[in-house]
Amino acid sequence: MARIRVRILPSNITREVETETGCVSEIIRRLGFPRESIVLLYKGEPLLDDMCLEDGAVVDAYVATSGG
Amino acid sequence: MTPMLRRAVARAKCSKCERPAVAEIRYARLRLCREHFNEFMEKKVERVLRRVGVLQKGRIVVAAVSGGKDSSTMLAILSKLSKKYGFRVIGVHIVLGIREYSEKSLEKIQQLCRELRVECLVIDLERVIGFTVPELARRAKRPTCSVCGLVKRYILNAVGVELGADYVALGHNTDDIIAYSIKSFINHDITQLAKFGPSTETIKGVAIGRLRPLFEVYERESLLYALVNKLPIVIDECPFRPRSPMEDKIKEFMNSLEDDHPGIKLAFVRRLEKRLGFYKSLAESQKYGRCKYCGLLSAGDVCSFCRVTEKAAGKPLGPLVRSEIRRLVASIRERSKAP
Ligand SMILES: [Zn+2]
Ligand SMILES: [Zn+2]
Repeated sequence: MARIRVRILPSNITREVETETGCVSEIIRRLGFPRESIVLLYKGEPLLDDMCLEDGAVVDAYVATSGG
Repeated sequence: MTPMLRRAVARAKCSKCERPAVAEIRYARLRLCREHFNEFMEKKVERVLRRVGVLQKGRIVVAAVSGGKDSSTMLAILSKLSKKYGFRVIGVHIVLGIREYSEKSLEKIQQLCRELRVECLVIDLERVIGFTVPELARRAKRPTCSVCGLVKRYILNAVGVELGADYVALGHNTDDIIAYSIKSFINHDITQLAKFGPSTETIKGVAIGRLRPLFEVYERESLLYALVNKLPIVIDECPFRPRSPMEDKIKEFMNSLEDDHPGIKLAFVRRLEKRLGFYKSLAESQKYGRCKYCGLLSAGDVCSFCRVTEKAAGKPLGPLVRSEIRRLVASIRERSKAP
């Protein structure tokens, strides 16, 4: 189990996501976005799909389809 | 701790070098480091510009910049390519007067233009015509977003005409173009599709052709480019943006398709480009003339900008905007002449 805190941008809403693996693909799935709609950043660096985070990690999720 | 969790933030290598990857391009089966991702993106834009014929010395491209990710990514890539090929890029930002949103946007744009060393023209609508976009919309009794769109189109075109530009470049990415296209299908207005290619034609002295350098750049890629290169961008959304525009729903649907069929969005716009001739043949019957007030492109006697401003201010403001733009353009000509 890894609990990940996700700050969604631009709405600035923070959500806590419970995952089995802490892996990016699972985080995105649990957030309910298509993978193509979102970019996850950890400490300012974009995360790749197969990367995994530890319990308690904080990430930024940029929704690509908003803004311009 | 499980072995799964110990993999935390282990980063795969770039497909082309030993550096850590920052981007994954599924349809191309690539993982790229920052340098190779930038190269990948710049090549995409370069190919589109080559097809359109922009990569030549002496060409002038006016780049519409809002402060958002797409137009900032576009300006950064155009600026790199312009140095390589010798064409000229001039950024144009319109201050719309939408409270803090406009202030933040302007701040980011000024920073971006400085960092990229691109000359940028800032046009403050309120200073030129005495009204902000929301005020103009209220007085003209029209939706803010539609007035905003028409103001931007009008001013960009007027700047392009004044500069003798070859193109006005817009930050529309692949996802935008697909969303506009599908909307045209929904409205059974498929002649619109003729306008959604990588470029549209110029009518000399009246309308400058549009250029879409990000035609083959996915929205996610455009965002990634802005993020990995730390471009100054506005993250906030315009407060007037509708809460759930149809375009967003279409994009989300297309992105779920893309998840299952990587590359389907690219295939869509490439096929669209191949079929442009057909859609143009359907659209041919539409004739355009000049506005009797300002002389720019108009479907009827009076262009929509002059019509809306006449309703809002009691007189058409196209001529005023054009003379102000003429003055601004003359001042940047002077600056570029100075040693
Ligand atoms: Zn590399
Ligand atoms: Zn007019």
